[in-house]
Amino acid sequence: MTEPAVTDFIYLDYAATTPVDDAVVARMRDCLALDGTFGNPSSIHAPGRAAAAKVEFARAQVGELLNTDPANIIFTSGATESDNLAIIGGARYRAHRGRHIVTMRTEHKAVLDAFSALEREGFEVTWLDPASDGTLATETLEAALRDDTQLVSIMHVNNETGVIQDIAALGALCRNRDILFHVDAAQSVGKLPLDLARLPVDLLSLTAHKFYGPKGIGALYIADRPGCHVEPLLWGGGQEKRIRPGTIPVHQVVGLGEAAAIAGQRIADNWNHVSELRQQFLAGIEGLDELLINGAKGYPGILNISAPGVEGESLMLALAPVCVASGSACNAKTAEPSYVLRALGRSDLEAQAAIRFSFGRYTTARDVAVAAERYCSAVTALRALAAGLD
Amino acid sequence: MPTNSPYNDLLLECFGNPRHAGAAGDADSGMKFSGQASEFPGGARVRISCAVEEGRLTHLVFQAWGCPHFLAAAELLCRRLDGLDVSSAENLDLAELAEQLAVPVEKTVRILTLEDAFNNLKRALENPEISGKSN
Repeated sequence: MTEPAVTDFIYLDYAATTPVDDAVVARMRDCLALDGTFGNPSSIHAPGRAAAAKVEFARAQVGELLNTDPANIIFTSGATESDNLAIIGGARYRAHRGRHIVTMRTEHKAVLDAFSALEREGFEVTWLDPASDGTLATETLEAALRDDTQLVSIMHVNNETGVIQDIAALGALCRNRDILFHVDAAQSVGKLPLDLARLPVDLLSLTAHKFYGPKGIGALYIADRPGCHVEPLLWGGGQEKRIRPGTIPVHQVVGLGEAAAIAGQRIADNWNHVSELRQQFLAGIEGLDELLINGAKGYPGILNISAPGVEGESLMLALAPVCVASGSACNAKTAEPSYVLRALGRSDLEAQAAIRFSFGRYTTARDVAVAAERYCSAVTALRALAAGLD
Repeated sequence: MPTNSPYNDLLLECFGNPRHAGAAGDADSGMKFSGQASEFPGGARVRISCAVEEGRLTHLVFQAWGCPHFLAAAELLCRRLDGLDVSSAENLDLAELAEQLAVPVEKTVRILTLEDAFNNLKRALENPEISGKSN
């Protein structure tokens, strides 16, 4: 059986996933075969100890990126698991104090579904609506907090719109009330500076594949402060402080650590690079009428645009070979309009006509020029095809 | 070769080269007939227009808003109809056309919408006094 070949394309879907950096691949490869660090880090023999050393080195790399003690980092399989562990594990840990928890309607499905699961367990959930620009006002969160609120989860950078939430201000509200504050930072780690020694964040989820690391590995940060803990969701060996048991995948962890180290060195360069690409793209499509940019300006690497009068799936196909997303990749196969854009007040048709462009490390000015030209011609042609229909 | 692409080659060709895309022209090409339908307000919609010359359908054009399967189906229908004599058009099977485009079952309603437009076009051909349209 032959795999389909991936041929010429222009990849503008970095918010869905990123290619693994060559240096990361090299480090991971060293941990797989007999002549590498293949041991089980729980073993006490030499290969095991060598593997354990690599795991702890990677933990230190992640800790350095987030400016926190590496001991606060728990390795998981990715952001979805980290979100579930933080939200379900955190809420259950605090359940004896109260059963009210708070989140936003524009969170990733991994957060929304974890809250829904807790709702079925008897927790009371307050679902907050964003302002029309996608942001959450501190007053809105403050009004939702109660004496029995035990956990709040707010994402840092929205995966569909790039909107950045003020986690410092939102977290301060929670810290003042001793409420666990969880941040889904899947889209911000490695792209925005995150100083967990200063930010009032108790739990933070990340995943390697959003910043040029491998898929299948992530981490959960758990602050070292009284009352901040999570109950495990898995049971087995004693790995990761018994919070996340299971044999540690050394090559994956090493890949995460190396990707974190590289990303940390490039945060400013990345911001400048994707900002320039965003400006170039916007200049390239300024001749189109009636476009709607979804969400306040946030992380410049994510640009979500609706073209009213155009059907989203047809626009996606007409853009080929430019690879983009019509919503988050997790729901791209459903025909439902994006719930995130609906929460921002977009109509079904406006949400359905949205395309998310996301730029990254390997995106070139030529890629953006081609994408802008394709977008203009596709929108123009599809609008003309439907012109005059009732 | 296994593929998870939702679009087959015929669909890509019809979608990428919609040579019948456009609005009905002026009366210089002969008498105009059209059939129109929409899935629901705000949903997929299509209008097919044509002329009749010496008993044959000519100048087939369509306008449409919808997913790639829907647009490709409208284009393919126009290709099939173009040059056909009016009585043969009666027998055109849209289910077969949907099969050729590998339209997934969840999009069957779109093909039914196209069929509504086609039926309205046939009605207009039978009775030039009416302009076929339905929702």
